[in-house]
Amino acid sequence: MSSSSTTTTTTRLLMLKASDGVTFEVEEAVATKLGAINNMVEEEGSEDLICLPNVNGKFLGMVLEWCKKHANNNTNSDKGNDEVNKWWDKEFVMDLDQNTLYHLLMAADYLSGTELVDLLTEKVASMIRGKKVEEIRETFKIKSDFLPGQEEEIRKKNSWAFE
Amino acid sequence: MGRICGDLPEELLEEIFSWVPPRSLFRFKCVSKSWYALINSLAKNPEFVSKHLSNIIDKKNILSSATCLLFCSSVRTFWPPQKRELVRHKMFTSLTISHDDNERDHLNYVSEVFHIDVPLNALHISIAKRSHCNGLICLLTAFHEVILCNPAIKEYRTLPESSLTYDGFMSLGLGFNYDSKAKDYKVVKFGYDVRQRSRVESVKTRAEVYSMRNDTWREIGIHFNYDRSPFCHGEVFSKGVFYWCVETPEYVIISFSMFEEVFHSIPLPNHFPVKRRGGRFIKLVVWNESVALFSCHCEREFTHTFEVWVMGDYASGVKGSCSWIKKLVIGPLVDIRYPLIFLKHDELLMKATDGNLMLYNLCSQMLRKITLTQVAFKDPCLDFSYIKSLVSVQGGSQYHL
Repeated sequence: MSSSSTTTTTTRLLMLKASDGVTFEVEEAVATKLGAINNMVEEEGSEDLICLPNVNGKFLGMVLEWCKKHANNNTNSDKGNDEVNKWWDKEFVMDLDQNTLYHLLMAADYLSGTELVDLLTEKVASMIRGKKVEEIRETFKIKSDFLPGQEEEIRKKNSWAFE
Repeated sequence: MGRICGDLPEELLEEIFSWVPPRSLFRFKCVSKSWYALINSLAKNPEFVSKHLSNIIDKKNILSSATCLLFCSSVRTFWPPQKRELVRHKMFTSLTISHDDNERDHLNYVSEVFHIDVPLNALHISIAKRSHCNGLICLLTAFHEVILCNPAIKEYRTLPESSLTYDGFMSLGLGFNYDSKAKDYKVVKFGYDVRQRSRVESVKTRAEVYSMRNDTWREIGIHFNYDRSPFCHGEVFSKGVFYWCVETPEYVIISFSMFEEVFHSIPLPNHFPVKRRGGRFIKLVVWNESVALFSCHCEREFTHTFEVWVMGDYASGVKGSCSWIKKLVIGPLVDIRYPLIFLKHDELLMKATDGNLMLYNLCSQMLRKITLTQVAFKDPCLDFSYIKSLVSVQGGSQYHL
């Protein structure tokens, strides 16, 4: 997707292969925003094809889209970038459904994209803050495993948090 | 509605929790045994508490840009017990103001009352005797007690008794903040001995500092003498230094550097009103992390003009080295009583003559009314912008950024 024709010839391209065989050609500077890929590049040196058996192509594509945007925005290093990045991040997570959010978060975590993990966990938090306990169980597919009376006791102790 | 499928690993849950406000987090203990155990251990984990705090303070949050204000109520000693009890239960009220993303001019408010069973004495405070940092609020009561509380997690603690609590000692000012060099929370308070005061003698000041790490007070040097009983306004804090405006009755600004633990007096800008009179008064605020001074001038009834003077970088060691630059003139504004605080670099919160809060935008020069229908008191005293943190009042030095 990047216009490699206009970039300088010194830009190295990496090939990333997702679990479902989908491959992505990405500039090294973009891909190394992900800690995991940065480590692989540093350790394995000349390897140009990187296999990522734990990430599906759809979500790898989304993670790379985020990396590209941030890499591009950061190249022109003026102060407005922070605002641009913030605005763009907001848009990026705005309409994610919970299923996509979950897989994207797992992918970002696996690839050690710390900033992206921050953004996605903040998004999850914004969806759960202020919610009732029952709603949280529903969202996270959790069944209460408290013994009878235990939950009431915790509620009582923390009653102020339920007001 | 879709669901977040499968199990999130604990470290990702921890990341999510670091963005969740304390009240929600404490409520989520009821979700399951593992959540209960995790949240309990995180709330006691200094690293997590610091992360939670820095997520709010450093404005790393991208998705919300809300400002939270805290209102403290106080009571009068002569109030009947029932009335005092009522106030105690609504001692802290927060108001969260956020901009509507779709409508730039629209503001959303959410208010929240914090029930915290502080001792009744804690209610006997004046604005000048309150200070705050990282979600902790420090109160100096009329009975010389210093109380630390975190309303967001319903904690409070009375600090050990200091030596300057004898009858005849009059407290003037209080400051509480985090000393990033010593990695310690500190309280500084100062006042004067009423007994020393006679017609010929001037008022001598005394001061002491409390260190949370050592959990003790110690007296430190302060060398201000005043001819008359002074009156001190609430403190502002910027870059490791506290500033108070004291009326003696001439205006004096005194500073206290947290790192060096030294007091200084700071000269006012030239040609400044030296006394409160004829509708002229001054007020200290923090603006863009710098100390700024409001000069408020009542032109005619209900019409004020406000000048904002910004203090140049103040070398805390050098007396008289301070320079002031006039940066702004606001107004004349009708029906505004006085400025309160800057919420952002271009948003100024002001108190209207009818007791309501008004938000003034420096760029658009637009005034917007904040309707305080849910705030517990008709004429609440605005105290400060506030963050809901998990920082414990039990302290030690472990909770810091």
